[in-house]
This record gives sequence, C-alpha cells and structure tokens, in this order.
Amino acid sequence: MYKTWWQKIDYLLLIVMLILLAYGLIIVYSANGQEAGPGSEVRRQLLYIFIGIVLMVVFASIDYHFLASVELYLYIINLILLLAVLAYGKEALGAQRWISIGSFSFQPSEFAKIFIIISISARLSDENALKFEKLAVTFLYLALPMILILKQPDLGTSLVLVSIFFVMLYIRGWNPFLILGLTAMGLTISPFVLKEYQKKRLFVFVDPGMDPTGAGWNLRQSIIGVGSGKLLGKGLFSGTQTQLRFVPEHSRDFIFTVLCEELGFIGGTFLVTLYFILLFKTVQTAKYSRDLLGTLIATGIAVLFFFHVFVNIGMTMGIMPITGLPLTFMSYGGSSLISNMMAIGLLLNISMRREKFFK
Amino acid sequence: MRRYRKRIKIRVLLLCCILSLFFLFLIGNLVKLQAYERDKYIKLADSQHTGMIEISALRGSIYDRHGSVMAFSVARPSVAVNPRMLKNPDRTAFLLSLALGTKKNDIIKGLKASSTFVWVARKIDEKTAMQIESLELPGVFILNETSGKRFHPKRREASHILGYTGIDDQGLEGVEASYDDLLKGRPGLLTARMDQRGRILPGEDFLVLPNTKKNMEDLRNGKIDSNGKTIFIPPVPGKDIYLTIDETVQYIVEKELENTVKEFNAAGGTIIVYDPRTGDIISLASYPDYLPSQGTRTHKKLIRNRAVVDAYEPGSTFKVILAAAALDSGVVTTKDLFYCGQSIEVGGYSLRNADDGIISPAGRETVEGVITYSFNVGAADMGLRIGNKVLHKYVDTLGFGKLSGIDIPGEAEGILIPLKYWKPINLATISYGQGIAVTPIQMVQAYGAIANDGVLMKPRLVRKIVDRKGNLVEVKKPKVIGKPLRAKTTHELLKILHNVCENGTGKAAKIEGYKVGGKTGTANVVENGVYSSNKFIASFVGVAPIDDPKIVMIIKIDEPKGVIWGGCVAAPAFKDIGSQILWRLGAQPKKSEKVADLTPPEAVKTEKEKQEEADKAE
Repeated sequence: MYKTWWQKIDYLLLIVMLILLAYGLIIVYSANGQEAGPGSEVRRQLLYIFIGIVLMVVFASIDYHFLASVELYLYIINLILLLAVLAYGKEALGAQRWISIGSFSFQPSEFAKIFIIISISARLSDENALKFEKLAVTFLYLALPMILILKQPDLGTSLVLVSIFFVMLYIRGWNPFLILGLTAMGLTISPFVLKEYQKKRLFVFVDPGMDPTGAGWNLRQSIIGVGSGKLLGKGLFSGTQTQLRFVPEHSRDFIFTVLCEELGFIGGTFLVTLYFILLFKTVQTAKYSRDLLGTLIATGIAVLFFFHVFVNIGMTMGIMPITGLPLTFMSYGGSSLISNMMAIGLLLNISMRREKFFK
Repeated sequence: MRRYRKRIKIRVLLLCCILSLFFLFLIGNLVKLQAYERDKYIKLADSQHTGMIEISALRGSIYDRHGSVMAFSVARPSVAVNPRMLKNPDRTAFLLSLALGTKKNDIIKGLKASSTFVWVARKIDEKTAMQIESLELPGVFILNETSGKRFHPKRREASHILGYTGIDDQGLEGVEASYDDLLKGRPGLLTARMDQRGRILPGEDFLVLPNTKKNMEDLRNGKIDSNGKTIFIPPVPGKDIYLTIDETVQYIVEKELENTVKEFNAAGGTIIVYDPRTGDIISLASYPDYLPSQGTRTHKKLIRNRAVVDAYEPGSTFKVILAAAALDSGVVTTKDLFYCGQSIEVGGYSLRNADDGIISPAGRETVEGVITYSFNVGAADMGLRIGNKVLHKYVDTLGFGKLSGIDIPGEAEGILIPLKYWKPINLATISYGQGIAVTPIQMVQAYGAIANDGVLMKPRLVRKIVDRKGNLVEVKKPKVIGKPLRAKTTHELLKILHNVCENGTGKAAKIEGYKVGGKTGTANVVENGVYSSNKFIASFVGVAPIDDPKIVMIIKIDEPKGVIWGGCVAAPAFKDIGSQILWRLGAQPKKSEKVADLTPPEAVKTEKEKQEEADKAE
C-alpha cells in the first residue's frame, strides 16, 4: 500500500496554480499592449515563474518539520532583510519596499509572509503554546517584523499578517471571543495610529469623491472597466479602459479590471472559481495534515491567499479599500509570485507527508 | 486527543464555509456590475474615450477705406491628414516634405498609420500653408487656427473705432464688438477616439461635415453618433472689414485733437470728420485714447467713445438747427429781424446773451446776424416766433433724440424733451442749445443734411465686408434717411455759416485757399442737474468747402481751462485739420475767396437723385 512520492503529489493544486499562472501571463500581455519583446513584463514574469518553480520544488522537498526546527534562523534572516529595506531600500510610489541585488530588486515583505507563517506555526504547534507566557512571546514575535513592515509603510501586508495570526490562533483552539475582542480593540485604536493619507486610501472606496483625482479616480476608472465588460467582455486585447490607459497600474494592482473588461463576467467568474478550488485544496490540506504544524501552516497559507484575492478583487469593484495588494499568481511582480509559489511548495510538502490517522 | 483533533477539524470546516461565503459575495458583485449596471458603465466608458478638439477660427482683419490694415490676427495654419483618404501616400509624403522642409520618412510614418486623423505639422507659417493648399492633395487639410493675439500696426490710432478683443478673441468694443459675428468666424470641431493623454486613436470612419450651427451643436451634445468615427467640422475663418475711415486723415485728426486738448489743458475731446454726401465717417477720434492691444487692461474712462456715447448740451452750435427750422418752415425770411437786446423775459425767467462782449448795435438782427454773432436773446425770440411744433419737428427730422445708427456699440440717444412737455422756457432755451442733449455724431449728421442739399444720411463706418479669399460678401451702401430741409434753405444756411467764419465768432476757422463755414458753441457742463460755473464744453461744427461741401467736421473740447470759447478753442483746430486734409479729400485750394452764388442751377434735387449721387461717389 505504500505510494511512491510522485503518487502523493497534489496534482489538482499544481494544475490550478499552472492555469492561474498562464491566465495571468495572458492578461499581463494584454495589459502591456501585446508587448512581449526582451525586457517586457511578460518575459520577466516568465523568468519569475521559472525561479518560482525551482523554489517551489525546494520548499516541497525539504520536510516542513525541518523548516519548523530552524524557524529561529529563518526568522532572523527575515528580520535582517526587513531592516535592510529600511536602511538601503528603494523608494517607489511613496513607500520603501524594495531592495536591489544587481539588476534585480525584490520585496522582502512578500517573503516575510511565508517566513512568518512558518515561524508562528512552529511556535503555536507547541503543546503549551496557549499558555500565557508562551503566547505573550509569540505576540512579540509577530510584532517585531510587523512594526518593520508598517514603517515602510506597507499597511496591507501588516493587515495580512495580523489576519493570518488570528485565524491560526483560532484553529489552534484559542478562545474565539478573545480574538474578536482583540480585533475590535485594533479597530478602535487604528484611527489614532494611521496617517491621514492611509485613512484616505482606506476609505476612498466608501466615497470615491473624497480624492477625485487620485485614488478616487483610479477606483472610478476601474469600476467603469469592470462594469462595461458585460457577459463576454470586449475581447482580449481590446478593452478600451485598459488599452487607452484609463485603468491605472493595469498589470499589477488592477489586473482583475483588465480581465473583466476584456473577458467579461465569464472570464471573471472563471478566475474566481479557480481561486475557490485553490483555497479549497489549501483548506483540505490543512484538514488532512498529519499534524498540527501542517494544519497551521496550511491555514496560514489559506488566509494569505484568501486575503490577497478578496481584497484585490474587492478593490477593483469598489467594495474593498485600495491597499496595493497584488492578485495572487495574476499580477505582474516577482516577489509576490515567487513567494506564492513557495507557499504552494509548502502545501505540496504537507500533503505529501500526511498519514492516514488524521482522517 | 481525538476530541481535540475533531475540534480542529470542525474549525477548519467552519473556516472553509466562511471563505465560500466571501467568494459568493465577490461573484454577486460581479453580477451586479456586469449585468445589472452594465449599461451605465458602457456609456461612461464610451463617453470618456471620445475626445473633442475645438479648432479656433482665424479672426478677420479690419482695414481703412484704402486697404491699410488697422487690426489683424495672425493665422497659425496646421496641416492634418486623413490617411484613409490618401490616393498615393508616398507622393503625398514627398510633396509635403518638400513644402515643409522636413524628411519624407518622418511624414510617411504618420501617413501610413491606421488612424483617420494625423497632424502632420501644427502652427506653421502662412506661406508654407498656402503652398500646401495649392497642391490640392486629397486627404490633406489646412486648418487656419488663430493665435488668439490681435495686432494693431497703427498702435493707438483709431482705438475708439476699432475697439478691442478679449481673452477669448471676442470683440468687446468698437467695430470689433459690433461686427463680432462676422469677424470671429466659426470654430471647427474634431471628435475622435482618444486615449487618456488626448492622443487620437484609429477610428472606423472619417466624416467631414459642413460648418453649420446645427452640426456643431449636434456634435457637441453627442447627437451625432460618433461611436468609433472621427468627425471633423472645419473652422470658417472670420470676414475682413473695410472701414470708411481714411487712416491718414485719422492720424492727422488724432494728432491735432491731442494738441488742442493739451494746449487748453482740457479733460478730453472728440473730433468727427464726416462726408455729408455719403454719410461716411472719414475720421472719428476721442481723446484720451488707449492702446487697443491693451484694451482689457485699460480703464473704462479711456475706452469711452466720446463721439457717440457722450450726450452734451450743444449750446450755440444748435442755433443753426433753429435757423434751419425757421427758414425752411417759411415762418421766417432772411430779412426778418429779431430782438437782440441784453435780456429777454420768458415764462418768468430772464434769458441773457453770453458775456463775450459782443452786443448788437441796433438791438435787432436778421437770422444771419443772430447766427453770426451768436445772440442767445435773438435765438430765443426766433424760437418763440416759430413755435413749439415747428422747432420740434425739425429737431426730430434732423435726427436728434434718436440713434444715428452708427456701427459702434453704446451709442446714446441724447435727450429731447417730448413735445407735450415743452413750455415757452423750454422752447426759448432749446433755441440756443440748452435744455437738449445731443451727441457729436448727431450734430455732424444734422449739419451734413445742410451740406447735402437737405438730404439726411445715415452715418456709415463700414464700406464692405470681404471673405478671406477676397470675395465680396456685402457692400454697405450709403443710406438716405430723409430730406428734412429744402435745398434752397440749405444754401441760405451755408451762406450764413460762411459769414460766421468771415465776420463772426468763427473767424479762427478760416482756411487759406478754401471757403469754409461753421458755427461755434460754448456750453456749460451740467453737473448733478445744475449748470457748472467753471466747466464748459467748447465746440465748433464746420463745413468745407462751402460751395461744394466735402466734409462736415465737429470739434468738441471738454472742459478747457483758461480760454473757454468755442471760437478760440475749437475753431483753430478746424483750420489746422482742414488745411491738411481737404486737398487729400479732393478739394483743391483756390486763390479767390469770394462767396460765389451758392445756388447751383439744378438746385432742387430729390432724395432719389441724392442716393444715386452718393452711390456714384462710392
């Protein structure tokens, strides 16, 4: 009854990921006005996919228990990278998020999500993790990188980390009312902590007239793009909102707008369905994991995927704030793409090493 | 342990359910946007992808009567191409590159674009544009856009006639305002699909529509379905206007006006030179003047056109109107005598002569004497003798109390008390020009009738209107308004006017080599309803040459200091201007100065004949 390793691979998850990547490439190609020459975004994205596949295989092969055992080192590397961003980082679009090595620049906060999922899962999977002293240390453990990310400033990623942590706590068995209480507390103090422009960006979706030339304009153009897509869209490469550059950042934050304008409701629903399968598989991995560590890691990844997908798509339709979170596997951008593929690697890792008794 | 694991499993399942709900929410929103509200967003998307470019039209020029340019705008021609209409792109590009002096390869790229509208060159010089236009290439358009700036090569000259234009190239004063509709032309409009930066995109079709009001409005309001189409309504350049002004005369008049105003330290003044035969305004000047190019930044006081806007009490110059009424009505003959003592009692008021020191030795004067020496008492007596009805009828038919119809905005009607309110005192004072307000243009118009055998003309400022290609659009013919006076009367009046300049108050107006006539006037300025004791208006209205009048000229100087008499302030300016311009207007100076028999053989001319004569002079 022993299965060889290739029989244990979660092929559906892999296939969904590959479809998403291909889908993303096509839309990025369209968003760039069908430019695919050397140095174009499409070519670069392809390169990131190959790097991502390599790292995915690496993260699938190394037993996640080993990764958990060296979580302290991963955590320290992560902190150093985040500190490096603040010290030497490149500034772009009002935030300091990138560091460059040679001609490549990457965004440590994207990778931080994966590292923190591993670290926190390792700490929470301890038998006494919910004891007060231990739990207090875990909170601090999360707080340190979060403060560094907030300083960049990258509010979106910080919120992702908090959500991941809270859901993991819930799965670990912590009192849900305590979690809700903490969430409520965070919401009450946030108006005093957030800067004016952050509040503006966060709440512009309630009233696009608040910032009609900036974020409000972007949002309006995005909604027009989605809305004018109809059932089948205006056709690939012929979305007027996109091709005439009314939709901002169309290969990155607003890629869903491009897709909906050009491929319509069918295209959009297809994508959401793909994400649903992806999430379903992730949650299933969590459910059928051999141990708590696997469940927690998979849960963290599920929240990571969900948060990005929901906030990004919601943003393009004006039901979520504009936070600058990329759309998983679709948006152009190496760091996010590679870290997400690393997450898939972890999921494969967990599902490959599960055993019967957890069923 | 097993229970614990089960709890985890339940929590994971719960999480799965919550996530599913969120996803349903997303799909629901997609349905809302793409199904229920899609029409709204499709419309929004379309409307913001259709861009409109207004192409301004070139404003017409203003010339003087001899074609000397007074105001013009510079055309900035642009070359546009509709590649789909080209028969031979290579040849077109080659010819365009020759004309524009650019490389053919730079042009050919644009001509081979899939777009329906491509700018080849914008705002080039006019010569090049004309060269390209003469090539008559299909699909190549020359659009004359205006630079928006107005040029005045004569600087301050004729500022009150020309007026000025505002920031949007619209006429605000003078001819610029009254003929704005003709001068401004009609802007064109281009609608096409444009991207967010306003660049024109390929369209399905290209449509050129004629520039009509309806087309423009429909295109602007989106009534013409421009979906995917490039629609182009070319601009229509403004028309050119030829004035009746003689620029050289205008220059002389303005110079002399300025000299006179400065010499007598006056507040301002106005001079009109008028051709009585056609009603042409040969010159019209107001001082202070201004730079039309700086019009929008000039104080309103300077812009005020005193010649048509200012109503004033004419004083003694109006006695000629009285004399015209008296003689023409037949109530009075040239031999009748009028009381010219120191004062006369009318309706409880005591009316006096002006204290200029002139007294009538006999105490009685003929019409000629009353006018020549300007006796107020004599005028009052004459007025009382002819009565309300007669005087009012002539004042009215000679054009007072109504607009002369000159093509300058803001003309005043003056004040003529309605007949039913005339009391004896009104009759008596109006007889010597008090209690009535007139404008300088009304004065020259009325004197013009005297100099034109009794035929009243409409003042004319514009001779013809020509389009940009030189085709005549409209000729403004001289217009006879009526014939209020008999020719015989006018000849008697001219004789009297000549006598004023020979023996009376107007001696200073005499011009060497010419026989001239005219009448002086000195009136108190009315301030807040009462006569000012130290502010006067000195004026002179003259006719020259008296035996074949070519001009009627009014000189009106506001508030001269020191000397105030019309005969001393205004009359010399008549001489200075007349001696410089009369030969120019076709009146040769003569050695003999005797007054010839002023009654020509064909003395009585009908209005119709006068109209024909005026047309001939044209």
